[in-house]
Amino acid sequence: MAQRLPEVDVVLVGMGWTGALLAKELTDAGLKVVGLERGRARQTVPDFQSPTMHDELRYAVRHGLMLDPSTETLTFRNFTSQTALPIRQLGSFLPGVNLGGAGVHWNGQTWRFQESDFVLRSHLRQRYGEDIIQDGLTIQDWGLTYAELEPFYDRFERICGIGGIVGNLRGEIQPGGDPFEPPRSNPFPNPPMPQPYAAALFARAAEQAGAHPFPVPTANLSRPYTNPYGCAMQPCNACGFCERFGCEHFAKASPQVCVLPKVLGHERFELRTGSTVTRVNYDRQGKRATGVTYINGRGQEVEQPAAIVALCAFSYHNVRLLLLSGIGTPYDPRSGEGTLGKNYTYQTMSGVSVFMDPDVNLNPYMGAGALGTAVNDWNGEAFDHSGLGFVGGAYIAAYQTGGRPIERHPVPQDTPRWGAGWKQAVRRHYNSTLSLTVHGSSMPHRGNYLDLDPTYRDSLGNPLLRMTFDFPANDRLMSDYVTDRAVDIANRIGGKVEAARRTGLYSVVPYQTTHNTGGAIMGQTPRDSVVNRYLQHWDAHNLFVMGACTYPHNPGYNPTDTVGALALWAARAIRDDYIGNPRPLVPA
Amino acid sequence: MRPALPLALLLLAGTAAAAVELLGNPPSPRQVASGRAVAAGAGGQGQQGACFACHGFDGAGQAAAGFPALAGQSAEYLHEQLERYASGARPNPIMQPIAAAMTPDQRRDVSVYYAAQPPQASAGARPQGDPALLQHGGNLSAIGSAERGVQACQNCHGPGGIGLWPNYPRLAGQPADYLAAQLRAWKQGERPGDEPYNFMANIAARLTEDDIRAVSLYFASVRTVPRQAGTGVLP
Repeated sequence: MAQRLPEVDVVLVGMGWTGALLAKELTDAGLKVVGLERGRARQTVPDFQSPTMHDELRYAVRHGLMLDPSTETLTFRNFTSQTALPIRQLGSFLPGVNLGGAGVHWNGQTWRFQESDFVLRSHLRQRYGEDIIQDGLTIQDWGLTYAELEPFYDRFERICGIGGIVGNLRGEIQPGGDPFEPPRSNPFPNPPMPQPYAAALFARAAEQAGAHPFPVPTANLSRPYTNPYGCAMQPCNACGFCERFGCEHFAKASPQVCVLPKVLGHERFELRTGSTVTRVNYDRQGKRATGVTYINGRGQEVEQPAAIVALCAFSYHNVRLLLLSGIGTPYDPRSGEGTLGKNYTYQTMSGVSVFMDPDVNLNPYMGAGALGTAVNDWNGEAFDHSGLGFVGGAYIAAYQTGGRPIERHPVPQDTPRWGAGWKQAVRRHYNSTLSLTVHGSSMPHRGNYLDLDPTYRDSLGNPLLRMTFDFPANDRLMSDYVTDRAVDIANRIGGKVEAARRTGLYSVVPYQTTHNTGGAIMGQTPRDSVVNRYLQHWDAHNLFVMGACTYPHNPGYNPTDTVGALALWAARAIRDDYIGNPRPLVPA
Repeated sequence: MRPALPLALLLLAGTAAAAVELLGNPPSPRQVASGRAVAAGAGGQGQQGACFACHGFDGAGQAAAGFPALAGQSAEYLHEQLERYASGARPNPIMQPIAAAMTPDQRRDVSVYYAAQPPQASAGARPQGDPALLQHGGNLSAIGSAERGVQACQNCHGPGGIGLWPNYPRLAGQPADYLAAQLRAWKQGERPGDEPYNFMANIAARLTEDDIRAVSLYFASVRTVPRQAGTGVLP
């Protein structure tokens, strides 16, 4: 029999970026908030300090900051005709674990989506006609506009201390920035990081190709900074240990650095670590969530009633929790009915390597997660898709995230895979290989979705999530097209150019990105979405679902800026519209 | 593939050569000789500005007087400090006129000279002090302070403060008075940080006087190893 605790105003499931932001905003609004985190607590000091943190084997190779798949994983298949098997070793994507979640080990590449992304179906229909959307693509409008979300992008970027050059200030195109970005109400709170040589070479070649390079907006701090919450951050020294690592310098925006210092210890906030939520308790008659049930650190089952429940776990973990809780109608790929699990999308990645002369010194060890220069000339609706046969796009970036010794060994494809020849080639190419990332959009397809696995269960006996995914033809065409543009730029940089294209079936083995999106999507009606424009569940008005699982498609940008902006947007709606009069904020 | 061959052969020639290749160019004998002359008083101030008088020809400094050790620092670091003294960016009533009286070449050469001097092994006697203070300093060095929002010193300055070339100076074995004076100068705004980062000014501002004494004592008491030349990468 579960122990039943007194009711609180808000219970948050997961304490990463969105949990931390909601905790701050809702305690400020006077609510009593409990944050449930299945991992343990951790802080910059002492948990992320070097040299311990600069252990590439432990963290980058063995995934020391990621969710252990022996406690919970998911099963995977490409098509419904296959039997999904459990992912027993993380690969393609790396869900984080412990306080701060993936907000600790992210790179800090902080992008806004385009205005057209929020109204994609209407926009494409109007600009090209319905035929541009390939059969089977379930693209839809998001239910809110970029203009509505803009102040919250701005605020999240201020909380993170993002560095960059504004490209579009209130509609005026600015020199040095991204001319294709949507209008910003303010410049970035901080300047960009100094750009490395590789980025300068890329920028020059990109300009020759007619593109418009600019420094990537970065959550790696470019100077000392105090954010609107009063949290102090320090500048990045380009140590090259961002992705898959915690930052020892208070220099990468994270919940620990930017939000939690003003939340932990607050009289209206309680953090409970070691607490694994197994169900959102649901009153089907009353159409409201009554709280959550979790397993605490002692293995006891606890029920925490709450007036508001917010799912703040990683993208697909939120979807799984909704499925386990029986809230909403699971998506059926055969009929197209149901919404929960629908429109699971990913990111369509490819890359181009330029093996330059040996006397070129790029010093790749000098890096940071978002250090680099990019072009958006072929992303989203920045270019005309007429006659191309696909929608969406990608940015091309020359990132320099770090040249760590175990995993950075760029060699041409004709190099022996081991032995003296391989070693010689690594030595030859380590310091003179420039890598371009082609970071592409992912369009929803009716065959790509999430549901519960009929066979496999987690360590608590609950069904695993089952992922069914392959890259739609649209995205393969898109990726090829933009990879061609990247190859053109690479040829202008000079050197031996090799492209790693998006070929074959999607595989969960090689790392691609941890940008798993969709599955509990937002939209205009309960028929096509799980949550409304305020991330409020259509079937339970006191249940809010945060994160990238609410994206109806995944644009060609990293998702975190929009995750943060949407959380702040939802928090504003809860605070100003919902608390005083709890109800569905959008009529169904 | 052909251009790689000479480099590969060079690297195979031996670990010493490989180390030089990784750390940068070996110091040129001409520069070292010229730098030694500057250390002996060939700079614009003559004997009055002779480096050796305070820092020794071996670059060991004088702990009792708070004169820092120069041996084993990177040439880049030493050169940058001389440039900053010369321009007044790093204010110091003694070093400013000495550095300003040197020619740019002299500042460069003397930096290479001292970078080429191996750090001396710590003598038997180590600084005495309150063990609790020393322990606190060691904690600050290794993990920083959550309370102050300060990261570990060794994140940048290397384990035990041995320095990370070419940017981050060696702290191990430096006089406690010298280290404390620098931290106080940053904290009080007398020594400006490096724009736009202000790493040390930012960190020192968070430290209490106790922290400063503790961390200075700690680094002063770290044993330095006898052979650890920092050749730097200056041409």
